[in-house]
Amino acid sequence: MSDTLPSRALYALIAALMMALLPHLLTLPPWLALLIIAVPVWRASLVYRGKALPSRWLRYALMLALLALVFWQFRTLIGRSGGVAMLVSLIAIKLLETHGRRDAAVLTLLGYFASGAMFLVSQSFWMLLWALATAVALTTQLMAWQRRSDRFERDEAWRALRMLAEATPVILLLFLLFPRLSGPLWSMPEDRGGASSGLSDVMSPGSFTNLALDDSPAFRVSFDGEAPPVSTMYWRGPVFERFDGRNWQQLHDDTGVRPTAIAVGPTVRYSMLMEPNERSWLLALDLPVRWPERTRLTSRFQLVADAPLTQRRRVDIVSSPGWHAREPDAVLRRNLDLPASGNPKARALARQWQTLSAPARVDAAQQWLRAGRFSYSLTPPLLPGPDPVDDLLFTTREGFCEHYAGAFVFLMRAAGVPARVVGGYLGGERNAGGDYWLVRQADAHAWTEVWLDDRGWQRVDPTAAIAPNRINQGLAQSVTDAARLPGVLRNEAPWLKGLRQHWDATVFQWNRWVIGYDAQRQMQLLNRLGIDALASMAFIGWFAALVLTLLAGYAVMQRWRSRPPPRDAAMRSWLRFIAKLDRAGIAAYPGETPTALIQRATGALPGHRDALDAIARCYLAARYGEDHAALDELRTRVRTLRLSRAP
Amino acid sequence: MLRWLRSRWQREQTRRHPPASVVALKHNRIYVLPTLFGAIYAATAVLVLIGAINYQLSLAYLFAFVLIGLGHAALLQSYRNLLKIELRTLATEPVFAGDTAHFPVSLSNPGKPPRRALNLSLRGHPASWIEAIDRDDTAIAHLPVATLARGWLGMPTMRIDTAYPSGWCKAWSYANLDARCLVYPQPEANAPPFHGENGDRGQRRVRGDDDFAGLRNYVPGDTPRQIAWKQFARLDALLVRQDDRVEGQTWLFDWHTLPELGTEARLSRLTAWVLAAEAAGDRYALALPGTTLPRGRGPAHRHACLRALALFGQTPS
Repeated sequence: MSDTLPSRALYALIAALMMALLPHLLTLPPWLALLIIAVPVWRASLVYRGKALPSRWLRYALMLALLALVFWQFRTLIGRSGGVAMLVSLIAIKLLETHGRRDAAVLTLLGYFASGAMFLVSQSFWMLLWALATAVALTTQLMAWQRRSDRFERDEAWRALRMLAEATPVILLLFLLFPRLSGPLWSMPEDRGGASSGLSDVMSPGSFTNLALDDSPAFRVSFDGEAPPVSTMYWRGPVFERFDGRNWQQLHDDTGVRPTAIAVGPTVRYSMLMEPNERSWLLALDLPVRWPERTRLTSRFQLVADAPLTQRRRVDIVSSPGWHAREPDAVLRRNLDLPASGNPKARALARQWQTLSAPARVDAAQQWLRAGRFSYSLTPPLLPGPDPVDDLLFTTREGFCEHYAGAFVFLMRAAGVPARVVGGYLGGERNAGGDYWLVRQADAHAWTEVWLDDRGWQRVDPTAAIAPNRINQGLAQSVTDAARLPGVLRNEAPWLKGLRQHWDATVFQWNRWVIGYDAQRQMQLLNRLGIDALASMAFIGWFAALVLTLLAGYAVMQRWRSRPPPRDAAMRSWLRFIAKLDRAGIAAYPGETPTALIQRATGALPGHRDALDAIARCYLAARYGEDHAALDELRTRVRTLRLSRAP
Repeated sequence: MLRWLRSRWQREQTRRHPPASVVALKHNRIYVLPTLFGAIYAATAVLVLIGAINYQLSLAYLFAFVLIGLGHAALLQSYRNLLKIELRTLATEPVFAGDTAHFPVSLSNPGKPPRRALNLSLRGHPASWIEAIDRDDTAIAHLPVATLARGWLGMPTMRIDTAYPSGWCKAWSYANLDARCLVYPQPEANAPPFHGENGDRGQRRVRGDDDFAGLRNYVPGDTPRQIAWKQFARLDALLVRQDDRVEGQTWLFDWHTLPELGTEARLSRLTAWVLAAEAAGDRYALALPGTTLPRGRGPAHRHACLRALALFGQTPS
């Protein structure tokens, strides 16, 4: 009895496991997903047709084959992607050898574990809902196994949901108060270097143009206090200093001498919620003066995390928009380097400015760009020739930010002014409802910095000379072919924009408070309660108080549930009637039936026979027939009954 | 020491669960502990938590806590699956020593949610299984007890347990129900046939021809065929024909005729004779020291004889 396989319970188990596997299967290559999904389907069909399980050898062969395929695909069986693929395959194979309740129990536990691993795929709100639904389904089918019968009981799904509701206080308490550790316990080598998104560490013509079509969020920012003007929101990313004639690259060597920077003027305090991008740039505003743990400021004034962002991360930063820096000469010399040859026309142009002072050279170049009728386009012509800068400046005259930034730095270096390209994002979209700024990949931008001896690094954005609207009003207002942009980046109907912003605000709060709830946020929350450490007396006090409150609430609920059932209305009227009889001198005996009592009463009070009979009739109809009209009649009759004292 | 502890425990159990014919399972008499499956489930939740810490997944933290919370809810559910169930004893059927006695117990669910997957057993005896008791419904379980000795068998402490709904924890309670079962002596196997000559006053009746030998008053157990319907119509009283052809012989089974056997062996043999005589349709009387049962026949007489044999030498309780 205990080890038979009820087929309906098995279907329920297979269905619940499919729910647990689905998000993982969607991340696998389609052929592998189909192969894995075929196994439970086969198992279900075997049950349906009443066939026996495949032989042990076939099962082992299948398992080895599946694991070999997973290994071949991922080159590993542990860690994030390979491990999950192996877990999924194991669940599928294990289904082929379910003999009884013990196997069902093991599979159910694997199902719970796979549901927990769903958040490796995504931490969206929907994924949480799906995981909860899966947990409810797994718990529901568990009940059928406990009953050992092959029947569906509809109330069991409700019971599982109810369990989830009962669990909510425990869940919230643990979620808020369980100590969060920062940093991983261990790291899998292959967890690094997944497909990165967003900015790349090489700038080549076209690399920003591709990003301009990507409307996915890069990060969200909420300012503590007044936000700076949008035209100054230059979010600093990679700094490109080496030019090979076509591509701009970062220099990773450190000269050993660090620049000194002095912040002046007011500061801006803000909190950024970074989307995972497998990069370590944190894209702070110039110039960060305070930054969180596990991040550092490089000699190029980039704020970078110690490890690539593999998940959403919140960073609180204080920046100072006004700053001076002193650079070592070696760095400045490097920022004059150009390839030995190439782009002769551009070099000739720059040579004309060499007699001017450095600031005048910068102005002259900007002036030249502004007057040159250049156009700002998402689809500039390719520049395949050996002199791409010349081609851009003198032939095609059509480009995107990275083209102009590269060309401008080329001109500056050729004119003898140290200059470099800075990549990052510009501006963002303010979400009024949520009071934060959304910066998308499409806001990616490239600008330049030039070194002026008396003023240090100065930001110059050549795009401002060519398409001033880009700086103030965003991409859709500035490019010549805005129709190519994805819907949300174009100018859209106000109601649509409002709706979209509302949704994004919800997502932002979700990310901020639920997904971004980390050690730091937990501490913030606890600080508000006057707790400064998890080991403090204050924390223990709060915790004990919370637990006691919960327990007391539960006890009260139990008491309330187990209170005696209210004596129903008919009974109450009847008791009042008995009291009246008692006053008239007729006491009811314990255990006396209503009929017997009435008989005795009419014997003693013959004058009230009709009234007493009516009361008995109404009482019986109201109490046992659940007749509401009889109840009303009973009430009035008892209330108006006037008995003369029995002799 | 151990024995003292055990007897202490028994006394404490009896104090906590006093014998009664109706027992409602109260909240402070229900015990809950996790099962092995529950422990592995908890380990799964901890694994999810470790994953959450390692990959810094806030929602995986949340899900680990969902698993822990579900485990806690399951504990309460198991407990509530037993809470307030009303146990009542029903009448028992006598059995012979060596056979299995069954104590029927009715379980009522006074609440709304159905009670499921209940396991009932008497201490040290096989369990019976109740799949479900629906709202305001009653189920009856027959709890087996192997019998060894004749006499009254008190109902051992009953244990009721359940792992429903999740199997992660087991809730159980004890009840001492006030019920007893009469155990007849074990009938001797292959007992020698009773010899009238050896029996003191075994009488052989003359066989009647076709008419009846007389009428006697109806006693429960007489078959309708034996009832004198003609007389019933006339006298309005149930009479039974004493028909010699059906009746066979009359025996007196006397304790004192078996001096060579020990007490239990004598009782066993007498039991076997009573059963044989009843099966043969004979009338029989039983004489025990201090008790004599007059001649008779039928289930009631049989029960009276077997009861006397079962309780022979035992202080009446």
